[in-house]
Amino acid sequence: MNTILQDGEITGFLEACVNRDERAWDEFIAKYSKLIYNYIIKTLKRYNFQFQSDELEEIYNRIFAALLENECRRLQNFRGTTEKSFTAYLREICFHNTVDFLRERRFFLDIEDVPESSSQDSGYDNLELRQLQHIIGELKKELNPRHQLFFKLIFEEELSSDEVGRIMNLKLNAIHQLKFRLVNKLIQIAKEKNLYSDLETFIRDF
Amino acid sequence: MEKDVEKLAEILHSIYPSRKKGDIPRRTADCLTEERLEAYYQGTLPKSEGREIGRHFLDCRYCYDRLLILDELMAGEQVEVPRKLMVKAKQAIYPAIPSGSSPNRVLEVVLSITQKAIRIIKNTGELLTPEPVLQPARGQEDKINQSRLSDFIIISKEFQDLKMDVQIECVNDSYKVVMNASDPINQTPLTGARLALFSGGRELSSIEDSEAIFYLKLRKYLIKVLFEGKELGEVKLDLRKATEVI
Repeated sequence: MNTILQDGEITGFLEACVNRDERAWDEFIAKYSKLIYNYIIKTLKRYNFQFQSDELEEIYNRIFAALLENECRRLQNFRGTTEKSFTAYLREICFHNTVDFLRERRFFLDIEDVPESSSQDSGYDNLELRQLQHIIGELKKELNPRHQLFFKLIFEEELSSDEVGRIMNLKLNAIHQLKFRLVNKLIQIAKEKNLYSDLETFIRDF
Repeated sequence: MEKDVEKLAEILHSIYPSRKKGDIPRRTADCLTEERLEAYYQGTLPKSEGREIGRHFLDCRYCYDRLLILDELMAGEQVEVPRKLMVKAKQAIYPAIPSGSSPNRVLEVVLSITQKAIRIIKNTGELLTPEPVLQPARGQEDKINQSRLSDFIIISKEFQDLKMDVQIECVNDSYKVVMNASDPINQTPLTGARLALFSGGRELSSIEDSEAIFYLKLRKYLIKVLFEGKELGEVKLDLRKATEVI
């Protein structure tokens, strides 16, 4: 049942769904439910939302309701010709609906309410931590965008090497080398910007 | 120097707090479509375009978050969708179709055995095997298309939340009946089902599975498909002795 639609077939398939063809919708549910369901879970986890199964169900149902509303307007509005582009389009719908759900739940706080940083893990007090983050922030500005993204993923997001590798299309060896080069580069920049003595204090005390 | 690099790397790992709620991703006019995001993720974009998108991720939480979610979706563990949710989705599409048990959710099959083949007298389902043809009278074999001879049949019936497949085969003077209950949407076995066999108002056998094999005699039977305490459907099977001889 879960066959991959050939290029061009998706248009006819979605047309059948718009016309409420039962078989087409059976196939739609069988084909895309798993994607929708798992996308919701990944999004909720991304925003650290501790969800219950009924909340997950609510978003899942909401996405189907969104697909059906206004004579399946969203399906009618799809302009692609491949199944791949349709799954991408569907993910976009999932993301909007999940984020809308979180907004309605007032899950997102005002940005002022959120602590900027935590000193618990680092061993520094708040003042030291801010000072260090400020220095690193200054150094980071000098990196090229690709290195900045790498920095963000590996240090700020704490993603694993595998994850960073997939996202940035890098091999594992390259990641380790790049990480070393990047940190080395930060030290070089610190020296050039006369920030090394400040940074060195932190390195020595660590 | 190398030691400094290692220490600084360790420091960098420790000074950024884990994500807290509070970041509200907002879409901007420059945001990427999901399709372009996927192309970036799969490394299929030209280098210059990839670099440009890489820059965009630094400033745009909306796209950056979707990139990480996409990675989790593509590479992370995936869970199965609970069946009841898929049924609900279908109900949302076809609200007119009643849910739960209904008196009409019955597959009725009446069969008789003749010399070798099964003969269908009544069938309210869909016959998936060729129409059984009776064994021809002696000396008339060449008049019958041999490929259409059959001593087993498969009948299927689909309801909104249940698909029943019944395979019936002649084994000597009894019928071997293989009953399957599956999900009509994704065709997977109906996990958690119970198949109960009744005859003369008595429950003869009950199997906690989506598939059951019963060896039956010429008699009337009722096979009920039960799921989470509810009756989803039933098969009425009437196995008769052949009265006609060809």
